Amino acid sequence: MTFRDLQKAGWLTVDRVDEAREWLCQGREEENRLPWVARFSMGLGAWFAGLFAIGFLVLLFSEFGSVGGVGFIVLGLTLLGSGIRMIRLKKHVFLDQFALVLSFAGYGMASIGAEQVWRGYEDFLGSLLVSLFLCPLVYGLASHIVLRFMSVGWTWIAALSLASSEESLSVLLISLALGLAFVFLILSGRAQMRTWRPALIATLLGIFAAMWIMSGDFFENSYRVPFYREAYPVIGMVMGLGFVCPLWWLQRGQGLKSILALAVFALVGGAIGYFGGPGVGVALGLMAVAHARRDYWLGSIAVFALTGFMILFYYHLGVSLMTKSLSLMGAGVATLLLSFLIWRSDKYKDHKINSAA
Amino acid sequence: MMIGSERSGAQDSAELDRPLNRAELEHFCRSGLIREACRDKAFASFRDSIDWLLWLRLWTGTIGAIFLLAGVMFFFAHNWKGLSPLTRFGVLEVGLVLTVIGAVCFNVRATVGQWLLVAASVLTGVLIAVYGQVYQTGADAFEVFALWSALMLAWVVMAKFAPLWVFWLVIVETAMMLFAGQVLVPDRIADWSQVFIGMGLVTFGFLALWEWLHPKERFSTFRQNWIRFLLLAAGLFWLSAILWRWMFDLGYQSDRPEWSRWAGLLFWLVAVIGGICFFTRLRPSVLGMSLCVLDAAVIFSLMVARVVLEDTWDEPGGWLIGAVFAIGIFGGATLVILRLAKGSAGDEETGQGEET
Repeated sequence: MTFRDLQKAGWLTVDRVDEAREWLCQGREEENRLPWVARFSMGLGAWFAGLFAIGFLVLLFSEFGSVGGVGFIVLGLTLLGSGIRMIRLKKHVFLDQFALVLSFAGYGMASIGAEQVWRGYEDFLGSLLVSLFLCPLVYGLASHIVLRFMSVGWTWIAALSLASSEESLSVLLISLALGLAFVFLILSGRAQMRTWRPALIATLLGIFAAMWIMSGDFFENSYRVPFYREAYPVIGMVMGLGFVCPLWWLQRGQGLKSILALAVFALVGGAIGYFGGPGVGVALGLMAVAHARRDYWLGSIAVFALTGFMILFYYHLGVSLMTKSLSLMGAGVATLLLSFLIWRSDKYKDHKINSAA
Repeated sequence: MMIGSERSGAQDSAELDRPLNRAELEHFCRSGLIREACRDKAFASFRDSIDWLLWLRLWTGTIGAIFLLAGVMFFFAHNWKGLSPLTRFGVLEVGLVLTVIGAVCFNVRATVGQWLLVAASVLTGVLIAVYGQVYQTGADAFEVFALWSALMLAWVVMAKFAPLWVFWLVIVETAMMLFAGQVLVPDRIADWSQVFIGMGLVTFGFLALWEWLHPKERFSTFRQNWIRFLLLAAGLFWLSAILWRWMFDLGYQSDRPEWSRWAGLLFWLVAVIGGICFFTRLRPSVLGMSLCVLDAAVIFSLMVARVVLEDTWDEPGGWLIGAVFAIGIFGGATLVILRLAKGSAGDEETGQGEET
């Protein structure tokens, strides 16, 4: 379904067709103002200049005495604030990139400072607290896609670092539950995607990172972590199923057949998650969601995650290479057979004919 | 080449004809751009437009093929030690013969045939490696790569296939680098600066060959700008490496002659200035020209950083000067790119350029 289809069907609000068209082409116009190489050149220059500028500021700051934890936080917040102010000042490639360098450095310094201030408590707790404080502020104040992505991504990095360094299953589970709830909220269509896409992508990457930590036995002595072994397959199943909820939401109202198809999908995703491939289940679920939304960003993340988790799954399978090869060949033949059956099915042929018409 | 409003108009048209995604539809509904009475119909129509069967077929086919291939690879990996040399050669040679026969049957100029020749070329390399492993020939790594490139040369010439051509070039340059690392430098026949000059000249030689061949009708399959970009980037990388090593004293040998560095600087200057002139006037290419300008900007910025921070890296003033210079150098580079791009766009409009 294209914009012209909407127009032809007469579904667009009559006096606002031009507004809709402009909104759709808006991103393109901005892209076309300068050749990309010129923008790249300005961006590269901004990064070089930004790194030198940070060196200058840090050395200047340290001229007044040794930079302690609070000093780092103050300097970090100053850099971050300057970066955000610069981005809001004027839309320009150089300023944008320069501001990004300042903001990255600001985040880093604030985290280092917080770690020093909260020394004696859990590792990464300071970073997590600073990130949780800064995340909504940065997201609200800076309308820059990378800064928004960074504000959420930084929080995930801090939370997962805390979870793995302290072998804390509760932090991991809370992060996963919050992440899943957030993903569902965005994909249910209640939020403006252009605003929330950076947060969505950062959250999905965070969820996959958490699944990676769990799947890869990242906890050095995982047997000591209470409930880890017992919780692992259940969490995998819940996460696998969790991605069927957005899919159901997007495809609802399609009758019994659709519900059955979704139930089969939920069964497959849940089973894969339960039997040791939580990341695979989640990635497959996200692939389906991405297709249902026709969202290439989500699709790319899902395919990337699927590749990684498949490799991880086979790496940790704990059977001989011969058994792995036979199971892979068996799974390959079965999946190819399924593909062949779909290709031969009457429904597929009818569908192709209709599409061509 | 389309410019200005014509390009923008065509792209807008493409934007209006591409399938909408759900986020866009949600935005239209939320902001009232779709009539309230039609929203359910719009979403139902969107759901119907999602092609699930094709998606399932595509992914089951792809994942199935990957599983099968990985399974076969694991099978051989597991049983490789147990296989006799005869079986090992047999498996590889049968694969090689089948791919070559397949390529001939499909026609070496057809896409399938060309990709089969790529597979045959890879198998040739594996066969040479296995030969060396079984008979412990004691051959140096560069000899293996040199032999590999020589054996596949005929296919490269026959297929006229850009990816195979580039693959062959990578093998040739790997052989050259290994030869330099194993023979030329240890035996003090040449130093790394001389080696990098040689690598740069060879790469630029291939770029010149490509620039000469691709306008000819017989070599129309080579008319892909990524080859130009790749060769130019590789050529500039080799020559720039001499300057990086010089600036940061990497692997400096005081007993080696200085002239090779100066020669490297000279070749780099010729490459950058020549590249800018060539891609602005003779073969207009904004990307080619920009690559030369950006390489120069990076080198100059690093040079300034090296000079300014040489003895004063812990003083803020030096860093500030570095920042100011970086802004100046890259600002200048951007202006040069924009100016030259305008000029070459004019040439391209007259039909002299091929890049769109």
